[in-house]
Amino acid sequence: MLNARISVPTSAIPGEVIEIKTLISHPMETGFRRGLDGEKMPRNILKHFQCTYLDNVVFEAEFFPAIAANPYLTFFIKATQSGELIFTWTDQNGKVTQKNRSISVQP
Amino acid sequence: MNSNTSHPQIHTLNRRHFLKGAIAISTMALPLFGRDSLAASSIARPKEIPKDYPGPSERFLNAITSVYQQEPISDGKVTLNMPVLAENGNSVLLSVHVESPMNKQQYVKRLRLFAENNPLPEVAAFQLTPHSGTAQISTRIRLSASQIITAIATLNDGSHWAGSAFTTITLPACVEAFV
Repeated sequence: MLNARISVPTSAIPGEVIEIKTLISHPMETGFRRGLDGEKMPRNILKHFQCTYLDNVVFEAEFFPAIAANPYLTFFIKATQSGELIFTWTDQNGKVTQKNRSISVQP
Repeated sequence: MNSNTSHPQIHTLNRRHFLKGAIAISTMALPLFGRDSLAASSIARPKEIPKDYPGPSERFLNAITSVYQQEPISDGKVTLNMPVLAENGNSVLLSVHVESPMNKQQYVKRLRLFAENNPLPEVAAFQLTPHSGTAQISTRIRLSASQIITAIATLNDGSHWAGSAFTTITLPACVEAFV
């Protein structure tokens, strides 16, 4: 489980478009760099990110080595009703890091 | 006397211009039928690029061809915000916005980022839904050289739209040894 930080507003009004910010600690080693021994350092990256809201996938991202270390990603979703947001990162070996946040949506 | 000598000069200049024009037309027409796809040759380019810029890499053109085949990519709707000058190519802030109402009838389905002179031109691919509310994303990317970065959005009707930006890098990514 990697260390991830997520910023989601705790409350919103129905129909409000809210900004979600995510940051996860990961080296995102590109596989193009050489170490001090002159050998190429093996690639080690996060491949996939997904956000589900009320059991629907609302946002997905596929990462390539050009994403900087400690991937930072912000995006928006439309708040419709109170519920849970689940954030899932998957690395190139299929290892999963999952976090959740709940949001209360009141008129 | 003067007019007699200048006349043939004008004539040869005209012929030279004509030949230049003919070559330009043939090279412009080539990408349509050659190995460069229609998609790759029609992508939006930023207005201000340095004169010595080498242009897009083969890898980038191949990546565009493999993703978008021969489909046209229009210029517009996509705004890519990048710094004009970034000190460190290992982490460059990028934000992209696509003009779209983001409702069930009309929304951005996919958004892809390309850095055309990186060793691997693909940077990221995003899938959006009508639940996104607004098509705006920001992240931090790596750049191995000063280059054009292109964002291509695919709408739910299947049309492709592109926006691009040029960023100059002082310290490129990928070159430094591990410390």
